[in-house]
Amino acid sequence: MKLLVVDDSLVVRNAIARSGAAAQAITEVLRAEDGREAVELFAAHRPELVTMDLTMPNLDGLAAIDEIRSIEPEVSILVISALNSHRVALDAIRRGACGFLTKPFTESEIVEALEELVRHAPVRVA
Amino acid sequence: MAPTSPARAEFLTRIDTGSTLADLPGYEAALEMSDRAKKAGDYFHAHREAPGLLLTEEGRFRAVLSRRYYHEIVGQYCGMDLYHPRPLRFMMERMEEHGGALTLPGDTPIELAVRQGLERPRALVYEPLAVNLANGGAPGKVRLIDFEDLLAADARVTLLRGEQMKQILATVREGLLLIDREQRIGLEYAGSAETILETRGLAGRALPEVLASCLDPERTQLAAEYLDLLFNPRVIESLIAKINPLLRVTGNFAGGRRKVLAFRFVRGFVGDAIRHVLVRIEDLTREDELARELEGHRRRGELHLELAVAAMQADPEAVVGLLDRLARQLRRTESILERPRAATPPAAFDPLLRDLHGAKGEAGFLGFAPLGREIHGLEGALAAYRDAEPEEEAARAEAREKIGSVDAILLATRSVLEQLARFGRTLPRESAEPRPAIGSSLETSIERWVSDLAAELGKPARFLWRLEGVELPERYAPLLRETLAQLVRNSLVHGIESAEVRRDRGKPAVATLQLAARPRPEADSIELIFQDDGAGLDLAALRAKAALLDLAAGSVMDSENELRRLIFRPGFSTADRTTLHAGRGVGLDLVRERIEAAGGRIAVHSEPGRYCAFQIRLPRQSVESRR
Repeated sequence: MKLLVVDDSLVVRNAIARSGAAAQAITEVLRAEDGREAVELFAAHRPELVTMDLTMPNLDGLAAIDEIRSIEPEVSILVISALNSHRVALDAIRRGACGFLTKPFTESEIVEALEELVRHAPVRVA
Repeated sequence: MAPTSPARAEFLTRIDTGSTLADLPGYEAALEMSDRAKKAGDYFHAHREAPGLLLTEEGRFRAVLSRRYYHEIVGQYCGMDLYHPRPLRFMMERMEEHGGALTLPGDTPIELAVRQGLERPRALVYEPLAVNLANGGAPGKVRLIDFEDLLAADARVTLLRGEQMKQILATVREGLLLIDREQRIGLEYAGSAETILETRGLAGRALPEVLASCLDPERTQLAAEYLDLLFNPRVIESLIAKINPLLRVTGNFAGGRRKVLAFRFVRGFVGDAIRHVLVRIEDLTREDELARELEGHRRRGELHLELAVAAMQADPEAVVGLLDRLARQLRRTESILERPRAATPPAAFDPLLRDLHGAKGEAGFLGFAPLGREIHGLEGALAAYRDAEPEEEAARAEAREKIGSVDAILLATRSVLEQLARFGRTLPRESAEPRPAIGSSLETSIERWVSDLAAELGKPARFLWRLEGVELPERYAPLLRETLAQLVRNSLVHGIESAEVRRDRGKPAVATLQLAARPRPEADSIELIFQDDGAGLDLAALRAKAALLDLAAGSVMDSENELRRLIFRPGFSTADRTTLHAGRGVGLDLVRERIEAAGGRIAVHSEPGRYCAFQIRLPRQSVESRR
């Protein structure tokens, strides 16, 4: 499976990508630093899994979720963001994310969350 | 070949929730396939209760002939004439169209057997089941079970399960309930759900509607939206638990009581569909209180340690004197609060506020920072009460609470002092030296006050003590402590520049504060000079503030001397906001008041950018020179 990591912070992006690369089922990790780049990379590579920050320049996370799901409704998206309000978090899930991980996170939290995401990801017929 | 004739009512009493097919009455009567069908008719005629017969070939179980099937076959036109003389095999060959008998192992749980039995084609639903007790089909090990017996046993199991569930729901401490997709609460739920939520009759009500009575509308709305998401199969339950808006909430109940509640949700799947969500409600109020209590104990422990460290280093008489004065100030504050606010003119608060301010300075000076912080809080609350109208009740309550806080630390300090006295104050400072004179006790205090305050304000400073052999008398100790506390504070807050500014101005990074003394026998007095190497008085700020306070009489604005004297005026401060250490406009006026009350005088000299010096003259009678 391919994982697309979307976050405007290089440090966070690297941390998630590192954990993703360690998961057995994940064979390739792509990185995007804003919503616009995320949508472009998604359209080109069609990853099964996406981790999505919410507050980003160019295109924010909620809008990026909408665009990505309009390309592939079945994609598994995990929102990784600081929980500033329950309202925003619930919005993100309603728009089609599968889960929400709060920042700051520990390495084991992100690994477990990615494994959950892999377990629930729909099997795609090539 | 004699059939077992079970007492059907009796077996039901032995059925429990763990029962299996082996616990049901079994019919072992069997005929060989080669037997004539008439034998079966004779058997059914003789055994009215038997649901069917086992059919064997050379003793091995082959098929089931149910009473119903037998009657159906022989009931056909000329059926009895056609089948009775022929072997049973002939009759059974026509059974193929009905499918074979359902055969289950003896350890099949009752409920599972019922489900499998009911899944048979409609015409066969009530056919007897064959139970294989040996899992091999050996002779004598297969029995027939009447499906009606199975249904009766199942009803019993359901009843027992219901009773057990009710028992559990009645005793479980958590509030357990199920909600459906419409967020409606199911018929069965734990009684404690009613207790925790303080509402009766939950069945059929929407959970958000129930929550609305104890949670605020926004939280209730978030909860409803979250519950909605739980029924979305795309959502991964474990990955949204963290954004559960009811993970820990405070609910408001009758009589203004508050409860800390925790709601957890578990989805119940049937196949891929989410049928219901199990809601677990916990009342964490007690746990919450315990955690707070524990935190309180920890804080008190830290406080006692801090007080003990201060008490070991301070002059005990000075501390006791401060505590006594402070206790009197608290009682004065209380008596003001007992009267209606309007009964006390605003100006009448000033002496009390000044005394509290003095006590705060002294507390800091003696190293009792926690006491200083609480007195500071009280000062603020009392000033707010002074200015409070018309909402004086809230301000009064606030001031009373602050009195309580100061009192608590005051008591804690006394108890620490008593404990130290019991242990003979054998700790650090004590050695073989004689008890230090007031001068060196002051020196210790002032040095510590400078270093504490310097650290807190982030302005490195040192203190030099230059009494040149002048011994200060015991009776002036409180005056000097109070005065020096204010002067040090004033100097470090207002006078000393930050380390960066000092570097830019070419000054040493560490500021110097010093106290010099010399006897003046010729003038019947002693002179103390407190000086710092800070920025000096900011005449522009003084002028601006004077203008603001409408003190703009020509002589004040023109004369630098007059401007400088403004700093001794009550209520005068150039600080923009009140902090623990500045801004109340009480301080230097207190210093002047105390010194003048002792028959002395104070003057200030300053050179902008270089220094500020306070010259204090005290009457000679109270100061003795040893040389």
